[in-house]
Amino acid sequence: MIILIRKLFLLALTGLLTIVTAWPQKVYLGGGFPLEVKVSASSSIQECPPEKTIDGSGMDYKIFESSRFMAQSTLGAHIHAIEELSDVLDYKAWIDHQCNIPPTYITPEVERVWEQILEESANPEDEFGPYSVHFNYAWWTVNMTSDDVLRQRIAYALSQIFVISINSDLRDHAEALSSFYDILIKNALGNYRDMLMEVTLHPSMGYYLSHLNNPKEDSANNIHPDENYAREIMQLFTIGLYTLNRDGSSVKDNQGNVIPTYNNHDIKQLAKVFTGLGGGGLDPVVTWKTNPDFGDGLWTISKETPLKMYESFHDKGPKTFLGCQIPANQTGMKDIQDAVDFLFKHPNTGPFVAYRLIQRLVKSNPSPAYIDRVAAAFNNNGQGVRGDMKAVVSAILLDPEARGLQERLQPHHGMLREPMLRYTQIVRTFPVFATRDRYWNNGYSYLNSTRQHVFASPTVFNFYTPDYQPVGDISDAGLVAPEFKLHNSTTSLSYINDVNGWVGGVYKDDVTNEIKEWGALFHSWESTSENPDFVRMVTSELEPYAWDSELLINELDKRFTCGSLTDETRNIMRKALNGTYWNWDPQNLWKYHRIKTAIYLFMISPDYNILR
Amino acid sequence: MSGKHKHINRRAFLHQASCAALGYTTFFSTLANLDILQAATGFNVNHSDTNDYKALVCLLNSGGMDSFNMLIPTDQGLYKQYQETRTNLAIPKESLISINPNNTGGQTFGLHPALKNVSSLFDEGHLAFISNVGTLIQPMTRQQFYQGGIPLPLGLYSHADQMLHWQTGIPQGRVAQGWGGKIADLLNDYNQQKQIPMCLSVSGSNLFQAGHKTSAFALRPITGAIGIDGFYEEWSVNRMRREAIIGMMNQTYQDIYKKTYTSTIKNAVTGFELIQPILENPPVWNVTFENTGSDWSPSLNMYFEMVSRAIAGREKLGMNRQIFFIEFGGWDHHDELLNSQHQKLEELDLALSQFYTVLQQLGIADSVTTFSLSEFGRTLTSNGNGTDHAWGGNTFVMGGAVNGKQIFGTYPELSLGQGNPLELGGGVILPTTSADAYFAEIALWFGIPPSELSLLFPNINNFYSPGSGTSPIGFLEM
Repeated sequence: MIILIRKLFLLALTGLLTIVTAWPQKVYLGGGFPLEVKVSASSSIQECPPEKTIDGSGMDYKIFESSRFMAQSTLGAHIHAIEELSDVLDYKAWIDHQCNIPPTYITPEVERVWEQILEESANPEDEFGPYSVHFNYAWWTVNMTSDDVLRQRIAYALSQIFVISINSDLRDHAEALSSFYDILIKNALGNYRDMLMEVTLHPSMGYYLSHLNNPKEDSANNIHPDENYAREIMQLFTIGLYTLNRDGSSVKDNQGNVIPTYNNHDIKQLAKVFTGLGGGGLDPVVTWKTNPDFGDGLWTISKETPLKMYESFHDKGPKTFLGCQIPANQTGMKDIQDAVDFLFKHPNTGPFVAYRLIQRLVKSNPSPAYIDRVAAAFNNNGQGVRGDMKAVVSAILLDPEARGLQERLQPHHGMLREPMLRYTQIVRTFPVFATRDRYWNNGYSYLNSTRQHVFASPTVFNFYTPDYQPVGDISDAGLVAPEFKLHNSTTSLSYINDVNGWVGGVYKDDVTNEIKEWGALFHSWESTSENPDFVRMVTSELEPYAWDSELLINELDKRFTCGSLTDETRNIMRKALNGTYWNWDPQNLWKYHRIKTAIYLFMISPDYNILR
Repeated sequence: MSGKHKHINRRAFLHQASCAALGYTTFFSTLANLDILQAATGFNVNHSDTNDYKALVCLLNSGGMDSFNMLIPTDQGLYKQYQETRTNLAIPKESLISINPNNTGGQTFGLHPALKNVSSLFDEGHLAFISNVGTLIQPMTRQQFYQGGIPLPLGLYSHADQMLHWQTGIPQGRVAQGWGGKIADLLNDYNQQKQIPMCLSVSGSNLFQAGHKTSAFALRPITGAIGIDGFYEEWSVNRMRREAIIGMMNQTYQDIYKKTYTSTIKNAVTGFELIQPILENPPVWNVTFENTGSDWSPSLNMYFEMVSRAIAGREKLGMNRQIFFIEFGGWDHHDELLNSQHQKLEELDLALSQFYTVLQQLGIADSVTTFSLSEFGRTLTSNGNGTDHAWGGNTFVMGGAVNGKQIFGTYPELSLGQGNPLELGGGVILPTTSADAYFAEIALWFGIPPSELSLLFPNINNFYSPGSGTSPIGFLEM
């Protein structure tokens, strides 16, 4: 009876008042709030007696704000985490706290996965690995269980700047993938310079961009240093193609043309710097020798030990690029440090990194002023330190353009959520049931559906370039929307079908009379019919709301659309959910179908897929 | 002819066609978004001959194919140059497959040993090569290159920029439309009975087919178009979901991201309903396409198989013009060039020959032109066991309309240093045939009037006089 009264009260309110956007102050009925702010009723049955609505303490806006912040700063959050943050709404403190959580690395998990594979195998000596699928098992396990959620989100974003890919022989070596990813985890909130150096010396990058075993010039045989890494460290990791202002706009010459940052001469000179690097250790399987030699390939060398300089293969001459002069006869490693330092300190690097990370976390088309503020934080964290990632990440997430209501209302604010981030969100938003108490996900079916999975970019240019413009309104407006590169007539519907598979269905077991759900978020390749190995979501926390479509929608609006569900979409959903009802079924199976349909519709709705 | 009137007719036609013949009920009442263009910018092509069918198949060999190891001079002196320059990457002369071009004045050439079928296609007159093609804004000499003054393509030697230029035909800038998409904008009226866009991609979203007004419809190798699971079932839960999806996708959005998100889905569903029954029932042909790759990364022949199905369905789909796109990546051989390139070329060789056989069996080989793009040639010199990004390279075209058994353009000398007027140092070759001229020839054959070429390729007048009455290069029978 009490519940019924509350419900009527809530319905009355939601009827009168509509959508919420956020405002960082106490907003309550009659409290006086700015014109743009609309207020809705609070909707949580347990926690919201009418008086909480009257005094404003139960308002959902804080939860919406918190949810939106977590959509930008984590790989997905359970409602309890969202509520916990919403209680204080102190993002800076949350970031500080996150920075102090020890990192969780992938490589130890790869080792655990591999041990388990061998343990479970009937023929351990026939098992191949650990390779990329075992990396995927470990990656998902870490991202389902670790507490350092900000760090993991930034590491994932960085994996789209420092790109290596399983579309190469790296797929055969899980530890090559994991130890490289661990660099990104380690430095995600550390310093960009350290990360750039570690990336440069990692065997996986050495292999992928071919500066591993790159000898100095041999003019007698027309052999010149490999230019691949020299080019891409500039184009993709630091300075980009054109000279930039700090706000990310291009500097123009007197004729109004953009100014290239480097020419082929610069590349040839820098290529000499990256000569002489070879394996830093041996793969544990190598027993026929004790030290690596220059020229030893990926299978022979250690995939986790930084590359080593083999001086006799290093070009000892002077090198001059972009005005940077590297004197002759330095050690090879000193050459590399000088070059990396120079690129790190180049004025382009701040806006270059700022633009890319803003696009990954907040929006596709940041204003020049926003880029400028983040680039300034890159250039100086306030204590004279350049490249402090914590300062950069804070500047991105705490910026008025990321947080503010006014900015959020701008027509060009927003981005298409990456397919991978939709996936990580659904698996982290609800509790899960795992048949074997583990989170092994092969990842390939989602890659096949959406063309995206961690370290599965087709090339070093990532899944999309920062300047990708889909045909139609977005390119007509002169705007970019990188993620739309992955949104076409096959991927868009494959995604919908994957959501359908995740939410699955429900049935009544005729023998036991139990209600059973089906549907799987994860599949491992170790799954058999006798011993299944999958993970599915548990949505029982929504059951109390399922009897009323409106309440269910409100609950999911908190988790998925951060309070931005439009009236129109809400009406469409309400109709579908109200229609998901029948009265002949004593088990009330319709409730489960309604929950599943609600999640399905949210996850495929434009309101969710466009993060505003 | 009013656009509105035509639109209504088209819709009525489609409704009948889809309900009666095709197998899937259609749920979105409007097809307006399937093809954004409504005859606003295209030519008013007065087109009555429905038998005039043409298709382009763009094969983007992305990564930068080392095409100086694809087509190799075999005359004594020239092979020696090749061998001296390429050192450890030179393919032994005895393993090359000899071909017999009829326009090289007796100069002999060989193909990479993996290209057995391609060599037959060449000798039978179905395939031609174009030598030393590259992006250019104006023709230039080595001296001019070093002195500056003549504008260079932006981002020379860079994957991203060169890939852009080969697909856009605008090497001085970075634009978001490709020349295939712009051709589709212009020639939209050829497909009066069109049910799906002129541009079909078997490799997802791409720049080549992005027009101002049209975009590509994506298919997958092996399976074709994709529909929404459960969408066509009548169980109440499915029906509720379907109605909600239709509701969400049919809303009008001010937010351009939401608008783009939903219109893609709507077009995908509509296109699926129209095209899938046709793709699923191709005519019988005597070629077995076997996937030698994986499910998620099929071998190249499976991409051509899907193109074959779509071509076979051209009449049912109401198409007089089709543009296909296939991206075949993995050519960036900084490393392990010899082994890796051999595998890639073998895959290419099989795919081209299977595709051409199907086209012949369909009796449509004369109407389909397949052409290759690759963002750059690679350095002639070795970096140890691979090659780096360079500039000019060799391309091929295949089809019944191709003046085959010929090598067009000028095959460059392959020596290094001052003696070679095209060598820019490090084994980079200055292109002598502009990519624009290559594209223009293809565009003219496809139906773009000479007077409109500069709409597509703003630099074309630097390489070709559209009023001259001759072809830009001559590899296609106009």
